[in-house]
Parts: sequence; C-alpha cells; structure tokens
Amino acid sequence: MDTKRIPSEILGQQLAAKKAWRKKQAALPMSEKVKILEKLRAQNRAFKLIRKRRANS
Amino acid sequence: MESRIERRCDRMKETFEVIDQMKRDGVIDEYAVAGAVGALFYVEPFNTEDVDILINLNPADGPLVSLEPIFSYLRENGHENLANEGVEIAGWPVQFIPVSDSLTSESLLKAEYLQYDDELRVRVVRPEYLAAEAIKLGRPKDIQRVVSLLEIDEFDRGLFHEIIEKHGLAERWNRMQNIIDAGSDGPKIRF
Repeated sequence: MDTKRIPSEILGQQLAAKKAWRKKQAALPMSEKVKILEKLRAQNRAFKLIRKRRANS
Repeated sequence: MESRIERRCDRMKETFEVIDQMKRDGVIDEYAVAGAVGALFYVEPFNTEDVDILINLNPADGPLVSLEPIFSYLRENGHENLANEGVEIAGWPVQFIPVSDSLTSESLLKAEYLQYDDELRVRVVRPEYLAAEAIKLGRPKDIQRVVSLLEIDEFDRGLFHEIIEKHGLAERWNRMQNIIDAGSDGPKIRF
C-alpha cells in the first residue's frame, strides 16, 4: 500500500477548506488586507536581509 | 499600542487620498488602481511592492504624454522621493501609467469606486480587465493573478471573454489555458 498517498476524500476536504479560507480572506475589507500585505512585506524584507547576511558571511 | 505595521497601513490610505486629491486638483483627469493592488481589492492578500495607478492626463495639457505635471505637483506637496520606478507617496512606491492602448483606455473608463474602509472609496479597475491585462503581460505572477481572479464570485466570465476577443488576446488566453487547470475545486496552475 502506498502510505504517502492521501485518500481522495481527505484531499477533497482539504481543498474545500482551503477554498473556503481563501474566499473568507478575499472578502476582508481592503484596509484589513493591507495590514496582512504589510506583514508579508515585512517577512519578505527580513528573509532578504537574512539571505544577504548569509551570502556575505 | 498601535504597531509600526498598523501605522504604515494607514499610510496606504494616505496614498489613495493624495491620488484622489490630484484628480480634484485637475492634475490627472481620471485614475484607477490597477496591477497587484487593484487585484487585492478582489482576491485574498498576497505580497506586492508597489501601487500601479492607471491615469488619463488632463486633455487640456495637449496630445503629448508627459508625467512632469504629476511629478512637479507631487514635489510641491512634499512627495519627492523616487522608489521602484515610481514616486514614493506616503511610504508606497506609486507608478503612474498613462493609458496607452484600447485595453487600458477601456479599463480606466469602466473602473468602479470600491470601499477601502468605512470612510474612503477608491476607483479600481474591474477584475475582468485586470485579468485581461495579466494575460497580455503573461509573466508567472500574472498567470497566478488570473487564476485568483477567475475564482471570485463577482468575476463576469461573459464580459471577460468579450474583452479578450475585442482586444486581440484570445490566442494568448488559449495558450495560458493550457497551464491553468479549471478543476471542479476551482482553477489552479497545472504543474
């Protein structure tokens, strides 16, 4: 038996949950989405800085 | 206590307020938020670095397209830093994109005011036009944007097909469809 394979029923549930979450996120007011965007940007900047420091060390 | 991120979020509102004021002051004839931030009004949040503003310059300025009146207005109002090929307004790099073809002209014409928060409404390009523009550009991030826009309830597929036919994008759309899987659980990129 292939133990790595996710049963289609569970996969379907996971995809449906992900879709519902994305829909909920899309329905947020723009001002709330911008707050999330800022967090993503801050993370991105931090990762870039870490990569740069690693490259220089 | 308000975090630094929350303070910066208020700054995007300030960015839109400055742009709206530019319209009231006659520096630009009309505007609409396009690109990634335009798409953000309709889809789930994702990372982006700048704000694209589609504009119609004031027709009284003549047929030659020059962004100098915009830059000089912004300089006079204290927004003089350049960032990411645009001007920094309230901490956000803003790129002003004059309409250059039939698709961008129509995108600007058909744009609608959407709520930013309880106080501010911002003019935004409709999702079908954002998707058409993304098809025209065709970069990986544009394909991802088309996939996200196709998923939203307010996306008018009839209008979208009219737009891509009218603006000669049908062939590009057909090619892009080969890598978009329109599965029953929603469209996604086929790897």
